[in-house]
Amino acid sequence: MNPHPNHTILQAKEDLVKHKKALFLQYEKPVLSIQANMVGEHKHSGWSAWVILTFQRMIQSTMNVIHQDMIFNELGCIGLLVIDDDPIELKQKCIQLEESHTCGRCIDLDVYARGRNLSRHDLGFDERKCLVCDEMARVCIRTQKHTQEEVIHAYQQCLITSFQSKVDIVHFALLSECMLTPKFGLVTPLSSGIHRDMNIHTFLRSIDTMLPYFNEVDSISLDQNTHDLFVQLRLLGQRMERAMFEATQGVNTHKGAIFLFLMVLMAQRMSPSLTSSLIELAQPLLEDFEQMDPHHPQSEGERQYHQYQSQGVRGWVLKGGEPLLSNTLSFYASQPDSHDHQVNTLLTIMSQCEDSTIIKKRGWEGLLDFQAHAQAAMNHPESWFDFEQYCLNHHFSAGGSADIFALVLYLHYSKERNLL
Amino acid sequence: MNITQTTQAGTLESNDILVTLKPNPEGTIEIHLQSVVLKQFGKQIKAIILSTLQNHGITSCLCECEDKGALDHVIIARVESAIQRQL
Repeated sequence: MNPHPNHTILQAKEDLVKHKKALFLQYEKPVLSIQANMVGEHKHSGWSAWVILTFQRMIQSTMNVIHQDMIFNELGCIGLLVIDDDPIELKQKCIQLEESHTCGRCIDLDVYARGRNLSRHDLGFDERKCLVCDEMARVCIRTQKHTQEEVIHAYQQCLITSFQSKVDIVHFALLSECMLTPKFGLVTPLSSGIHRDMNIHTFLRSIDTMLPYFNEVDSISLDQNTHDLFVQLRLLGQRMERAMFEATQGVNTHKGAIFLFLMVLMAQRMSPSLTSSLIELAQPLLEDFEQMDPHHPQSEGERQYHQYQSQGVRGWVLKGGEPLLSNTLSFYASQPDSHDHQVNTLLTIMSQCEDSTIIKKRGWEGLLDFQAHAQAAMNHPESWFDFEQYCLNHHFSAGGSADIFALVLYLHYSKERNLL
Repeated sequence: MNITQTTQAGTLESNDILVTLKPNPEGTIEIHLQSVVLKQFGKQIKAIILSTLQNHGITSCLCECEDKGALDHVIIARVESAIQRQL
């Protein structure tokens, strides 16, 4: 018998139930699974991670969680929590959450106990409603009443309205970057790329640790000159880096992202023109270059500056991120968000960015070769596997491009949500 | 072919179906279906299950199915793996 094309997904579902059963037998308490109702073949995305983590956090703060885990497989990202509660009462609380929360329709909260998931029907509740219309969801799915694009659009709009602050959007943007797959040598939910010292969990821990610090940007007084403002920001950045390294046990997951996001969050407060305030805020960075000793470079960045006159990410900010930032923002806005469009957005960045992580591995010529390969892979999903292999073979992992990808998503959605 | 032992495939997760095959002393194919969309699609789902069983040469079995909104290709795949697990 030929294996069905969906075989791995079906197998993953059976494995998930085995996993839940094992947790139930171990703790003898109900197991709550949190899954995003994401349609389509691409289950991993910032959208699903955002909604799962939102509910996971809410549940952690209101229920007695005795074990928690997050797994990544063909079904997507799944939060698994063992809760010290009566299964029926827990299911009732979950149904209330699904019904009352703005993103409730985007999520499945399943309660497993004694060999099965408790159903809404058993508890006398109505079946779940469709995301697009008010019909029963399962009827719309079976009759394919709505197109996939229509459902994805409704899903995304629902989540966008749940962004309450700039930091929520930073969170979503960083999650979107780390969930995107394929990512060409970088860490994804399903692969560690070229890295041996980190995986998706390292990134999620790092993001969790960084987030609260972004709120502190707003408490830095604008009533001081730009140089002093920059010094304060740098101190905040250094504290964030220390916290990040502590959370990842010494692995650099987000050093570049911390720098870029702090600069952009502050520049957004200074004036409506991001480019000019970024350039103004970045001026003290020029001193970094003046103080460098060409004969004794203190870092990889300094070495690249002397060898190639490349100022790396600091130079990029000194130019207000232009022209790459505007180019990529308009590229991303040119189509509705989708998995392939996100990958193409990342490839756009990779094909233009002077990514110091690539220069470090193979010098300037290596960078030009990498950029040409990224360019060729754009709009050609059938070539993405080969480009991934190329990156693995050359030990490329374009972390700088990934940081800018997150930044582009942040800028796009903070504008759309009008939370500037 | 008669079903001679009890086998199972699938889950009670969303968009899936749990299929249990058992021997049927009556010597016929008997399908019991529970579904959240029984009213709307019960007939259609039963027909898919029956034709999948027949396509695999099954002539006698008790087939108990608990459907959680599975689409046709999932139903077929789950019935097929329950049959495969007989071997």
